[in-house]
Amino acid sequence: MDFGSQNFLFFFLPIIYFVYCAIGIKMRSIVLLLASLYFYASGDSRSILIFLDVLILNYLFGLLLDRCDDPAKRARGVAIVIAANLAILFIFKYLGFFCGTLNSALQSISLRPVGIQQFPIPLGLSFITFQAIAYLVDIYREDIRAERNFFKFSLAFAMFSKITAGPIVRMHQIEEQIAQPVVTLDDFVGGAKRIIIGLGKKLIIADTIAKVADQIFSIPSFELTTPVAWLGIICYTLQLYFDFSGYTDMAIGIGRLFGYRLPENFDYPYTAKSLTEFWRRWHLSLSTWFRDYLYIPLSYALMTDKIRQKISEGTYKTNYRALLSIVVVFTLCGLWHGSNWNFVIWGMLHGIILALESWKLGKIMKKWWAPFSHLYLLSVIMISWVFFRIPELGRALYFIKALTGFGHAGFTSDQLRSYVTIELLLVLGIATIASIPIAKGAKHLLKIIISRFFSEESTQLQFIGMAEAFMLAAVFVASMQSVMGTASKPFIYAQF
Amino acid sequence: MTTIEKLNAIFCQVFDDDSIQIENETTANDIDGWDSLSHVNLIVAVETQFGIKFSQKELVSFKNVGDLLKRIESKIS
Repeated sequence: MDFGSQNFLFFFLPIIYFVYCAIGIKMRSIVLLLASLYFYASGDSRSILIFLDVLILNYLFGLLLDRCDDPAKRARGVAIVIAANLAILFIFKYLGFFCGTLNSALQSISLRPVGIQQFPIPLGLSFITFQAIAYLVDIYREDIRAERNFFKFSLAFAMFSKITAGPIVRMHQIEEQIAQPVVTLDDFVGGAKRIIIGLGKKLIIADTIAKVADQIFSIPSFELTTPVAWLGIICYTLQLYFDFSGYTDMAIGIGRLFGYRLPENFDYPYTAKSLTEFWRRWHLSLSTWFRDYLYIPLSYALMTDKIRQKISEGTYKTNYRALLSIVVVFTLCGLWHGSNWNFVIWGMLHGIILALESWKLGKIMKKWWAPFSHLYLLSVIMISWVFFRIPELGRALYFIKALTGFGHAGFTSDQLRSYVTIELLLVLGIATIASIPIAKGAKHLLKIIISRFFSEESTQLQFIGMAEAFMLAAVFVASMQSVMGTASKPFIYAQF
Repeated sequence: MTTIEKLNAIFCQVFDDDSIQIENETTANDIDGWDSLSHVNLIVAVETQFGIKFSQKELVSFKNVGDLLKRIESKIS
């Protein structure tokens, strides 16, 4: 069941919400948990048992870890359960990739390949595993206590609004709301607005642009001209952001309807002026996870006494080990997105550029003219998205060749006409404007205009409220046309 | 030299900027170059120069300079 489907919007969500509001507070968590399990099973019925196993494993070990006072046993325990979680993820997500790579190596030295049993990856497993690791490490670091109530524990993991593709929630961000599931009119209004915005981003913008992006990315390499390649990558860059942030808006909006405040995941990433800044604005729940649970512990562990001494004396100006940690962490971040070399390359590329920015490039960039920094960031992002979008390395490199003007088909812009329609230009225009934080400025401008006609502040506010309601209604109606028409494309991040 | 003065000197050295003047409310946003990478350098420099050691939990828990200062003072006292 997809957030953009008729079944979800017209049946599942309203029915569950009605029951949720009608019953007493004590029963709400159970209703939401059952609804979430139904949502999970409807999306991936084969994996519900695996999902429950993961929940039970982490619930029991969380309790054990919490009770244990011996530091050595705690350290061993947390390492074993993290390894168990990663092993489950490995079996379902990476075994095929691992065996495939191993087999090509074996074949190259004329040995018999290993047989592979490929399992389908359970819905949301990458997100659940990361949430589980955060939960266990937080108990280990004594930041939180283990949740004793199995239903509440399970709800923190299973809540349907975030199970498919995050945000990755940490227990302390959600435990209070699970204990006190209060719904207010403010939450309802705020949640509904956010859902409409998310629907609009996904159905009106991302899905429209996706059609052109899909067409261009399926053009045979030797026919791809430079202008068409650029149109393709611009479309995909905007599609990915509006698809994922649209999904996240809906996840946060649905959470809010039920009285939950899920963490934000985006902060206008394409307005960044460096890749470092980009990662402070893109998929925040993932980037902060990597920072807190992998990067800082890893780079700290690599600081030997000798290096510590050098740092304290100020003679270790460039921390090479920390730079290497960045590359390792981002390569793993790439691998988290999918079990294929293209994601590894995408992650490693980001890691190397981030390390360069931390090393010397960042200081040089501070002297750059701001539009030039934006241009740099957008070029880095768009070129690296090519690896994110195209699984085959050869095709991806060819696409980059076409972008840089070295493709076989050259610069001719004749083919461009068959893709550029008024609809596409309009949606690309809206998408570009919506990628920058313009809403506040527009509200302020509207207020200035209205204040010329009406002096009373309450009347001004009424007008602004009406304008906002009108806009949301328009977005809602346009989105509904998509919902009622052809089936929407699945969310990109749901496959990770 | 007070603890904050000593800490200020470490900040100047780690971030290679003698004009840094830290206060309790100073956060990573106020200091050029204070990111995840230099955070590790800063923590290691603080540990070595004050002769203390932070726990895993403390490594990622400092919200501002005041927080860091409190932890240092509680460890050296």
